[in-house]
Formats: sequence, structure tokens, C-alpha cells
Amino acid sequence: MSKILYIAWKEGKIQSRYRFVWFNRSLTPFFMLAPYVLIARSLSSSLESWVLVGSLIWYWLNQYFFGVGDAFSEEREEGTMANIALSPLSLLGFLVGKGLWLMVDCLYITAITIVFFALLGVSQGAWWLMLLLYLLCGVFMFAFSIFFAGLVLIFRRLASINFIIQQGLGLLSGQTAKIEAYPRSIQLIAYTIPLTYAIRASRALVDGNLYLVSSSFVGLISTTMLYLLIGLVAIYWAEKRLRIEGSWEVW
Amino acid sequence: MVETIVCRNVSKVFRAGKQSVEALLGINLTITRGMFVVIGGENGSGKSTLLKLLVGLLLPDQGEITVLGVPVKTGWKRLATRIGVVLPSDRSLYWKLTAKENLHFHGGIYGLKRNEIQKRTLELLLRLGLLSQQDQLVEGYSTGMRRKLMLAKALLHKPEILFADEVLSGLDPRTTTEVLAILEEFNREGMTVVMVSHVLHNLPAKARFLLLKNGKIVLDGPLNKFQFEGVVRIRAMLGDREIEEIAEEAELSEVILQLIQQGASEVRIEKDDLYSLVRRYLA
Ligand SMILES: Nc1ncnc2c1ncn2[C@@H]1O[C@H](COP(=O)(O)OP(=O)(O)OP(=O)(O)O)[C@@H](O)[C@H]1O
Ligand SMILES: [Mg+2]
Repeated sequence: MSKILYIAWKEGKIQSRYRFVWFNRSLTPFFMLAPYVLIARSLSSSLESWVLVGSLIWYWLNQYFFGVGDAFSEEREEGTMANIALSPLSLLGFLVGKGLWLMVDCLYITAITIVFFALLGVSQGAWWLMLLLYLLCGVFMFAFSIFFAGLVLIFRRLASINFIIQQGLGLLSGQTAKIEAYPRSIQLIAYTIPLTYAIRASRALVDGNLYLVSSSFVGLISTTMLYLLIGLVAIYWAEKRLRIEGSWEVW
Repeated sequence: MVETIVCRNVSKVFRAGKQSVEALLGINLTITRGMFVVIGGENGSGKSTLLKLLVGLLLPDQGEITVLGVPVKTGWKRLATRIGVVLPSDRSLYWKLTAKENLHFHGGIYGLKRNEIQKRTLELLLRLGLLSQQDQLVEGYSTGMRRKLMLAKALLHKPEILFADEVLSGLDPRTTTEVLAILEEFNREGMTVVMVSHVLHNLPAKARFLLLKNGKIVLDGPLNKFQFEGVVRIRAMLGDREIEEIAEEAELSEVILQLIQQGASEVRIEKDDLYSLVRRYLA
């Protein structure tokens, strides 16, 4: 196993100590999304899969923003951050390990959610294709969350409005809506957010519009790259500041 | 002699808003391979700060530090596998993992091979008397057990230097002696030891003792240079004030006589030790 995989292994081990929490978490997305999806269904059947697909992609972002975005503050509060820093692993390597675990976690929970909605008769195309797409989009949400993690290291207060930020991103990216219906200025902002492209790509896949899938991926790749780059610089910069201030632990 | 740790004119100031704390001032220090160094000093004297600078967790404002020939500022990740660190807080362990899992994780991120991790884990847990509790979650460990596990973790990857911050704190007398014996054993096998400690007894005779006060080294020398044999400490009450004097055993009766003539009462004679030496230096 490589060093990074041990981070994922550790996350999994700790999670396994909270079996009940896990049970709770695996059903949460279904119950959280069901009201919206079912309302959408009463309007039109294409809308229901739109909402479901948009929400599931947002769920991946949500998990990554919590998991990766808070990864540093979590370990700092635990008191284990200094040990990670002292290890041969870089802070980025640590985040990648964390992200790998989240991928397993999200894939499992998404699969469960898809099954539950399928039981309710909500269709969204070939399930395995969608799962593959979620996984692929998940990689980009992960890269996007590295940007957030870097910012949190610099502006610590951001961690406390993590959820609001996720909600805002969801709304802007058209998690349950068509962004074409937004005012022009809001649309412009939406197109700077990777989530927008990820949601558009997934919906296009449901509709079988492969051209839109690929053009969305171009947007997804280029915006994500930009955020990732800023994120990496932020982490590098923050590490230096941590070493100057010595604030490896916070209680 | 191989210079393992070199600090040149190292200073560290912590700034928080308008306030600033000068934690270390112009530290010059050379530690050679195989030394057993004990750093003492009052709370807030800069011991932990010095240790964190040596391992790279902190950057100095001034001065340079090289460890094993590597500049710590830029090369700390390269040094990672060559040094072992015991941090003062037992929160540096994962409490939701067992002792064994903590060590496996550590070995893993330090790039050890699986069978090597297993072998080392077994060896160290056995040596530290934790083998029967290896599958217990750390949250169920006592303070002393956690301390020992932290030591095992720092030693797992066979470091060339061990940096330990208060590894003896919270240990019972028997365990303190045990842990010191283990450190001495590793030291004899060639590992350099740099430890911060408030416990100053039973230290190895060859140890070098450094005393910090207000961010400066005020005392530095081999323990066996500090002569406690043939020296006694006399304590007495003079009025309502407690006084302390150090005297050679040969001149003991004369000193006591003088004290009594001055009106001293409750005269007690004690063996001198490192604790009182430190107290005198810090007074
Ligand atoms: N991260 C930090 N931010 C601000 N000030 C700090 C920080 N770390 C240490 N200090 C200050 O630097 C000084 C030295 O602290 P240090 O922790 O090195 O002391 P110490 O000798 O280890 O004390 P103790 O015996 O209590 O552990 C103290 O005044 C402390 O308040
Ligand atoms: Mg300290």
C-alpha cells in the first residue's frame, strides 16, 4: 500500500467505529432528496430525473467540501495534524488520501440512493453509466474542494460557513433548476463554478445528448483546473504560515 | 565526532496582534551523534519551541538549523523518516483506533513495508509492555499507556534521532525508569536522543543537560560534571524565611554552627540533586 492509501485506510477504520452513523448517512441523501424529486415528478417525469441528477452531483460536492475542506481543521482539532505534517507525506498527499476514502464512501451511498429511487420508480438512464459519471464528476468535485481546503487554511472562519457555501454553490449551479432561467448576471457567475458543468453533463447523459456531455466536460475541466491551481498555491502558502505561527493544533 | 544537530544564532518570536513573545533568543547549539540530551527549564522557557524548530514544525525568525546535514527549513520532509518525534500531547494519537492500528497507520505513511510494520509493531509493543492491550482503542488507554504508545510510534521507523517532548510526564516511578532504560538502550545502539523533561532523576549518567531560561541556554554540560557527591544541601528557617545553603560534606558542621549562631532553626540536611541545582540557577 502506498502512503496515501494508508490515509484512506485510516479514515475507513475510524468510520467503521461509528456503524450507526454510517447507517444514518447512507440513507440521508435519499430522505433529503425524496421530497424535491417527488414534487418534480408530479409536474413532469423528465423534471424528476433532472432534480435527482443535479442533487446527487451536489451531494458529491457536499461530501467533498465537508470531508476535504474540513480535513485540516478536523485533524487540527483532534491534535493529529502535527503528526501528519511531520510525516514524509505532503499536505496534498494527505488530502488525496482523504479524497480516495470519500470516493468509496460517496460511491456506496450514491448507489444506495439510486436503488431507493429506482424502487420508487424514478428512472435516470442506465444506472451503471450514471454511477460512472458521478464518479468521474466526483474527481472534479474533489479537485474543486482542494481549493476550498486551501482557503480554509488561510481564512479559518470559512470553515464555519462551509454549509452555506455549499448551498449557495448548489443554488447557483442549478441543482434543482435550469440556470438558463436565471438572470444573465447570475448565469455568468454560474459558469465560473465547476458544479454547473458537472450537473449539466449528467443531465445531458440522462437525455442521451452526448455532444452536450462532452462540451460540458470541457467547461468542467478548465474551471476545475483553475481552482485546483489556486488551491495548491493556497496550501503551499498556508503551510508556510503554519510553520511560522506554529498553529498546528487548535482546541 | 559527527555533528548531528547544529543551531546557529536561532531566535523565534511569536506575534499575535500587537503582542509578541520572544520564545527563543540567539540559541547556538551543537549536538553530536549518539548524544543523550536532556533539556530542562521552567514552563514557558522555550523548550517545546526549540524542539519544534529542530523538527521543522516551526520556522525560526533568525538563524539556521541543520539536522543530519539537512537544512530543516527546506528539507524537513526529507528528514521525516530519519527522525522520530514524540509530541507533548497525547491527542496526537488517533483515539478511535487501537494501539496496533495507530502503529500500522504510522508505519504506512512513513513508507515501511507491511511485514516490517508488523514485525516492528510487535517488537515495540512487547518491549513497552502494551502487547496484551494492542487491540484496545486508545480512548480506553491510561495516560501512561498513551505516553508509551507515542514513544513506540516515534521509534517504529528506526529513526536516527529521537526528539521527545515530555515523554516521561504522567508515568509512574517504575514506568519512568523503564522508559528511560529503553531510551538508553536505543541510545547505546546509536540513536541520538533529545528530550525535554521536567523529570530530572534517574537520567543516564552520560546525559548532557541543557537548562533554558527565558529563551536562552543558561546551563549546558554533562550531568556527571555536576558534582552532587560529597555535597549537601542545608535548609533552615531564619526568622520566618526559609534559607538554603550548599556545602561540602567536610565543612558541614561548621556551616551548621554558623547558621545556628545567626538564629536559624529547623535545620535540615539533604542530599543535593539536579532539581535543587536547577532551582538555584533559575532563582
Ligand atoms: N504557537 C504559539 N503562539 C504564540 N506563542 C507561543 C506559541 N508557542 C509557544 N508560545 C510562547 O512561547 C513561549 C515558550 O513556549 P514553550 O511552549 O516553548 O515553553 P516550554 O518551555 O515548552 O514550557 P512547558 O514546560 O510549559 O511546556 C511561551 O511564552 C509561550 O506562550
Ligand atoms: Mg513544552
